Amino acid sequence: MTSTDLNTFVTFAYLASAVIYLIAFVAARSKSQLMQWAFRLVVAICAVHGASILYRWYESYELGVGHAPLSNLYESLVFFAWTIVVALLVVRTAFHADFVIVAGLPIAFIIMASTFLIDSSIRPLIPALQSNWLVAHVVTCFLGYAGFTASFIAAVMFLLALTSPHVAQHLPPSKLLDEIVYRSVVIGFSLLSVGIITGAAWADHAWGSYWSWDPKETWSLITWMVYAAFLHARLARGWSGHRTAVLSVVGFLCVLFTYFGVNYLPGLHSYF
Amino acid sequence: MDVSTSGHRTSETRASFWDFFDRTFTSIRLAIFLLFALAIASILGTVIPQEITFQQLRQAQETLYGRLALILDLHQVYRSWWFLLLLVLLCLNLGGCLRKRIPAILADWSGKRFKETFILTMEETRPVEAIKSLVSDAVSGVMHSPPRIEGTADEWRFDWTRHRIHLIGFPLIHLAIIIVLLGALVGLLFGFKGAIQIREGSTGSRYARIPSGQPAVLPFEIALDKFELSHYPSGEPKEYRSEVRLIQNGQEVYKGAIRVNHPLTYDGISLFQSDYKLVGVKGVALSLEGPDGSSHELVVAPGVETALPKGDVKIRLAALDPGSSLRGAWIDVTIEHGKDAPQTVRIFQKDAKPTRIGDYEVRFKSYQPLYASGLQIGYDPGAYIVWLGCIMLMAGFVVTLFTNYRRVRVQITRVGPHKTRVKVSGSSRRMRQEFRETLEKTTKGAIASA
Repeated sequence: MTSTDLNTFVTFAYLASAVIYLIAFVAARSKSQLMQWAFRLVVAICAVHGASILYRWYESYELGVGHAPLSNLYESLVFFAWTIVVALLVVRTAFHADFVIVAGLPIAFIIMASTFLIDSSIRPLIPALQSNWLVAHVVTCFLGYAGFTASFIAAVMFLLALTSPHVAQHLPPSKLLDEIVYRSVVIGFSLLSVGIITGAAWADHAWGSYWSWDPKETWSLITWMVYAAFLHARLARGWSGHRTAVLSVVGFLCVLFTYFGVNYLPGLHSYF
Repeated sequence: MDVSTSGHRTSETRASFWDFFDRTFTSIRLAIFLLFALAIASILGTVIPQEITFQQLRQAQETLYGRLALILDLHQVYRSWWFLLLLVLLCLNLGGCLRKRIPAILADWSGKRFKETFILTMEETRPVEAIKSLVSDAVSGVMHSPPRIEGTADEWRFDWTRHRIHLIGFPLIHLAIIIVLLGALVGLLFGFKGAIQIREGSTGSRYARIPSGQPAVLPFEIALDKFELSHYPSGEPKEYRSEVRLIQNGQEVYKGAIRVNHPLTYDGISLFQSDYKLVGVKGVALSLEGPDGSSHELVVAPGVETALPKGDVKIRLAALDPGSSLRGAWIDVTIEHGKDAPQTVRIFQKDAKPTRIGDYEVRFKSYQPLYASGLQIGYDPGAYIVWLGCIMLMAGFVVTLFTNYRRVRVQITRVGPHKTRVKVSGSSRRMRQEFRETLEKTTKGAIASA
C-alpha cells in the first residue's frame, strides 16, 4: 500500500464521516453519543492522514530522492487538506462548535478529491527547492491558510444566519461565529507573517533578494494587507458581525488566488 | 504691533497645521485605507506586464492612454512615485499611531494608569480584617503572584499586575513594519543587483545592473573553472554547479563552488547560481572505421585542424547544432584533401549510415558541451535592517498571542459599623469575559468560605 492509496482511503473516509456527522447533527441534540463518536472518527482519520504524509516522506527516501512531501501541487494539496482538518478540530475543541466540522469536512473532501486529477508520483527535488527553508516556509504558510479557511467557514455561516431566522436556528449562535471568525484570523495572520518572513529569508539566501515582487510574493502580501485591515477594523474601529465576516470572505478569496490563481501568472513559484 | 500679530498668526497656522497632521496620521481609518490602497496597487502590478522593452515604451508614448500609463508608472508599479508615496504615508501613519499610543502604554507599564474593564461590588457584614487576607489569597491564586498592598485601618487596597510584557507587543509590531520599510529604503539607495554570464575557462567582472541594464564592474574578477550540470535518472535537473575562483588585484582571494540555494559571499557581495547557457563545444567525439576494419576515436576541438590517422585528409569543425531538429544534434565538418577544394558535410548524431571521409566510415558519437554560467550578483546593506524588523515583528506576535496583560485591584473598605464593601476592578487585554467570570467566582467563593 502506498501513501497515494492511503490518501484515497482518507478522502472517502472524510466524506463518510461528514455524512455521519450531519446525521448526528440532524438526528440528535448536541453532545449526543453519536456526535461524540463522529468527532472521534474525524480525529482518527486526521491521524491517518498525517501518518500518510509522513509515510510519503519515508517513501521518497526509499526511492532515493528523499525530501519532505511538500514539493509539488499534489503534495501541497494533501497537506493543505490536512491543515484544514486540524484547524477544524482545534476550533471545535476551543469553541465547542461541532457544526464547524460538519461545514468544513466537505471542503477537505473536495481538496482531497481534486488530487485524483493530478500526477501523484514522487518526483526528485529540483535545485530551486533543495533548501532547509522549504519545510519552515511551506508549513507556516499552510497553517496560516488553514486558519483563514476556518475563519471563512465561520464567516459564511454567520452571513447565512443573517439571511433568515429559519437558517439561523440550525447554526451556532452568531456571537460565537463572530468570535471564531476573529480568533482564526489572528492565528492565521501571525502564521502567514512568519510564512512570508521565512519565504523572504529563503529568497534572500537562494536568489540574493528577499523581495522581488514575484506574483506569489505579491499576492501573499495582498492577503496579508487585507487581513491586517480586518484586524485594525475590528480592534480599533470596533467592526464586528457581518462587516468583518465579509472581510474574512474577501481575505479568503485572496488566499485562494495566492494559492491557485498565481500559478497562471509567471514567476518563481511556478512549480507549485 | 504688526510684528507680534503676524507672529501670533504664524504660530496659530503652525498649530492648526500640526493639529491637522496629528489628526490625519493618528487615524486608524487612514491605516485601513492605506492597506487597501496598497493591496489594490499591488494587484495592478501583477496583472499589468511590468518589464517592458524600449520599443514598447516608444509605442506606448504614441497613444493617450499609453502616455497616461507612463506618467502613472504602470509599467513599474512597485517603483512608481505614487506607490512610494503610499509607503511613506503608511510610515507616517504608523509613526503617528505609535506617538499617540505610547504615553498610555508607558502609563500602564508604570502602573499610573488603570483602565478597568469591569467592576464588581459586594457588601459584607464582617469587618475588614476578617475577609482581607481570604480575598487577597484567592485572587493571588488567579493572578499567580502576590499583590502590592496599601492600607489603613479602614481601607485596604491590593494591586496585582500580570504579563506586563504584553504591553510592548503593539509598539514592537508597528515599529517593526517601519524598520522593515527603512531597511528596504537603505537597500534601494545603497544596494545593487546584477547579472553576469561567464564562459567556462574564462573570467569576467563586467555585469549588467538589474533592472536598469546599465553596465558595471565588480571589485574582483570571477574565473569560472568548470560548470557542471547533473541530472536525476528520470531526467530532471539535480544540480547546477559553478566552480569559481575570485581574483582581486591579480591574486586569488577565494576558491569554491556556487550552487542553486548555496550562494557565495565575498566582500559583502553575494553571487548566486541563476541559470546556464550552452555556448559551444569543447570537443566533438567521432568514431572512425578504417578500410582494414580498425576503429579509432577522434576528438575534434573547435577551430583546430585535425588530421585523420592515415592519409592526408584533414578535417575541421565548421558548425554544431546541439539538437534543435527532430534528427538530433548535427555537426558540419569541412574536409580538406590535398589540393581539392574544401568540402563540407553534415553528420547527424542519429544517422543510420556512417559518412565516408577519405578512407574512413565516420560517425558523430558525442560532443562535450561548453557552458556559460549565469550568476546573479547581489549587494544589500539594508537586508540586516529588514531582518531586525522581521525578528521584532515575530517577537511582537509571540508576545501578543501568548501573554495577556491583566490587572486587578481589590479595595476593601469599612463603610459602616457592620458594613464592609469589597470592590474588585479588573482589566484584561484578551479573554475579558472569561477573566471577569473567574474573578467573580473566586472572590465570591473566598468571601463565602469565611
